[in-house]
Amino acid sequence: MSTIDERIQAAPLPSERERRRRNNPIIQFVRFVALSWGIFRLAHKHD
Amino acid sequence: MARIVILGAGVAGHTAALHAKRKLGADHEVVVVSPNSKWNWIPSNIWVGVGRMPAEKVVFPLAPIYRRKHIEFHQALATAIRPDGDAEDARGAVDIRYTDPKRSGQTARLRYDYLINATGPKLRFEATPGLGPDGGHTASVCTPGHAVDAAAQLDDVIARLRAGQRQTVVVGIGHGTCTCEGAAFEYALNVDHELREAGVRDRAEVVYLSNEPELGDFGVGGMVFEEKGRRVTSSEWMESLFHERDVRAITHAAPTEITDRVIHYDSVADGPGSIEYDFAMLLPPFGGVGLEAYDRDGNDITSELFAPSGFMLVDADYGDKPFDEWRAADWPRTYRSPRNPNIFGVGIAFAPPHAITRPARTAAGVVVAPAPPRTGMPSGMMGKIAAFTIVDLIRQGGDARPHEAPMPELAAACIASTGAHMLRGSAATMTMSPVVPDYQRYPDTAGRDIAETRGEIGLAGHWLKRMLHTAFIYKAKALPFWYLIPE
Repeated sequence: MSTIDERIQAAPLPSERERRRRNNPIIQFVRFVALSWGIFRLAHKHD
Repeated sequence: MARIVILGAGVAGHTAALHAKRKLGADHEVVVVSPNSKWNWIPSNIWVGVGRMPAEKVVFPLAPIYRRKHIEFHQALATAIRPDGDAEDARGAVDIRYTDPKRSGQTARLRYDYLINATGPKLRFEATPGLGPDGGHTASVCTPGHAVDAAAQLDDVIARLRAGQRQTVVVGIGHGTCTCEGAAFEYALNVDHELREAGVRDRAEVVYLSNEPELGDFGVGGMVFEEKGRRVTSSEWMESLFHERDVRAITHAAPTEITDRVIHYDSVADGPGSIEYDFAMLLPPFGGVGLEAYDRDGNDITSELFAPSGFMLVDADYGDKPFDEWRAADWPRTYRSPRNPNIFGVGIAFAPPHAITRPARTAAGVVVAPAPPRTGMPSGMMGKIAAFTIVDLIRQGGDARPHEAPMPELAAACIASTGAHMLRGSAATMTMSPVVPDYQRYPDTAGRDIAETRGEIGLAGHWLKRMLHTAFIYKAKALPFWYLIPE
């Protein structure tokens, strides 16, 4: 196994709570709004 | 009446054409030259490449849009620029050869007052023996046609897995100098997702092959995110993503030869190696499209306008200095040609002044040097500011101050989204600001603003990518109020 594969195997996995958070439609809707606004603002910085 | 000729109708060129015409109206001419009859929203080619979206959803014909907007369109390939004109006319000119089936092979010379070179890349599959779908052994998602072929090959892999065979899928780059590792990363996650959806992931090995020195470098030197109060590098973030999805990786490597079963590569740390594969999607390196340049007397001045790579020289510092001495200030601000300020080079067409990720060589001398990306948001911004500068030059004269969009100040977003189902998809969303790190301004956070450089995994990014697909196609079709959608 190469060094990079060893590092991948040693990398932390998300907790069960984090997995649920990633798929929770309500939490993710809030994140969708926040992400959309963040990207819109970044794109407008140089307009 | 001024005449603006734009070479290329991708993100940068099409954006420039629409903005220039919107600002100038009927008083001035805007002309677009593109060898392709259709516009392609390239980020969604990834979904076409796994069979989740038909190719027709990522393209539309350019001619009707340009007809509606009163933009002159030539479906043709630009072959040479004559910035000083010729014996008949002192105005600059572009030589073109038509690819339009009705005029195929015919040539013409178009005069211009201002020229925007947004020709994008030449896909250099020939750089690695055996690379690419045309005469090689690997798939690509660079064009909708390539992506359709990739999806068919992936279907075959899934069928063989269902029949009980084991399969190895390799996704990544096809040469040591490739860019757009983000697209390869996204395709790898999509392949993993499709194999899981088909219930055959346990019999498949997915390998990510990259020229990046470590995962998460993306040719931009990597990123640092703040996550729950602690700093996480993009490399740690990616390693965790790959662990979760059981994706193997080969990094800091360059494919050297590809046969129908084996990818031979050379690695900076481990030397030569090879991997057997059943299906491989490897991106090609990019080069300039091979435009030539001639002065008024017909002398070849290509080297005065273009770098040896074929990309256009603009207002960057191309001085030959060691990698450790480059600065963010070396990068162009206005994208104007120093030889001819009425010529602009934008998007992939401009020559970057240097690599962002430290270039390396293997013991055998194979170059492993990820090229800087200049696609997506920055590309659109460059097209827009080039158009705005030209508009001001036309209206205010030569003293007009040029608009600027330097990559060490521009931000970018990369969303690697998987799946089609609104509740079962997922995405890894990254934003970075600036694209080119400024180590003097942000010395403690890998050259970037930590407040605007983020990584996030979840459904939200999946919805965002779907929304961007719809929004950018709406914008590119120049439908009502298209210009309110930012680049």
